[in-house]
Amino acid sequence: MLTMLFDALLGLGLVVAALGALWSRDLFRAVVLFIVFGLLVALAWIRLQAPDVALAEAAIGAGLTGALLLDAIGHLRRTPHPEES
Amino acid sequence: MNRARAYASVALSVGMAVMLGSAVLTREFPPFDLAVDLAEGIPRSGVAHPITAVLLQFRSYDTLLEIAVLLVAVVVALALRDPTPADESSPESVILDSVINTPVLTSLTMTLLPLMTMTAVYLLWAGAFQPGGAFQAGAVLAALGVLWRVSGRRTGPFAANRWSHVALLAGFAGFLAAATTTLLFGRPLLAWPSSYAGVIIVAIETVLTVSIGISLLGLFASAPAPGDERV
Repeated sequence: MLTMLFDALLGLGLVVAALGALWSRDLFRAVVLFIVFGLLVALAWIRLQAPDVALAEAAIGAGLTGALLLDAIGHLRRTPHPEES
Repeated sequence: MNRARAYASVALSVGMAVMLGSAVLTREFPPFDLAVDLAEGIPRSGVAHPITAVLLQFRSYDTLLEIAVLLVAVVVALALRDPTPADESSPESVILDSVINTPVLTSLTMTLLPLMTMTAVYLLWAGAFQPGGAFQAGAVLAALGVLWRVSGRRTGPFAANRWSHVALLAGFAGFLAAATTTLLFGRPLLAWPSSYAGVIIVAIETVLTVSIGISLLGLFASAPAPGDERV
């Protein structure tokens, strides 16, 4: 019963995080939600009894990709936008 | 026009769904059970963990090609990098102003350095009998390298120099060497004798860990350096 509840919450959280990452107008918020999404996907892989995939997802999907995206945001913020400024 | 487009996309999605559904429903199940075959093959694979056995023994050809793809990706990323980086010309530690240079991050990185190294080695070793292995250990190493670079260091174990290029190549080169050595003894490609398989797999995974770590870090580090906004 408790695991069913956990799985349902996990599934709901996945969808919410994915939609938030896609639709957020603030890029920083979108990236943070993307990292949250990656960590939740890792949890989902553990629930599916695939800990190997979960480890890779947490490290590469959430960690490294998140770091790269945050780096890209830093560059975007320092570069003046030609159409906005 | 928009309406026609909407109808077309709905028709396409419905058609796709029907085709996918029929493909799943009419699928013929293979007359063998891969899980059973795998369980029977574990004793002669040299390792105890089924995932590692598949990755580096039964389907090692796929892993070899994966490493080659990763190497090509990193080489392309490095080739697209700014040709005049500041970090290779000066031997001393260059700390850029725009790098996050706070005492917290610096000391945290120094604290995490031994811990994450130990975690990577543990994951590598654990891969022989439980979840873990070269990719996971390499990712931990790469994360450590990202911390190292973000905290402003350009030298030390993660500096871009000749040795890092050797480490980048070592994984694929070592794997390829191990794969082709079997040919010299009249065995098929990648077919290691079961008595040596465990040692060979652990050796390959060790080299792969370093290479994968450096490769992933290379993808991160070949982005333009902070403070350099010539885009």
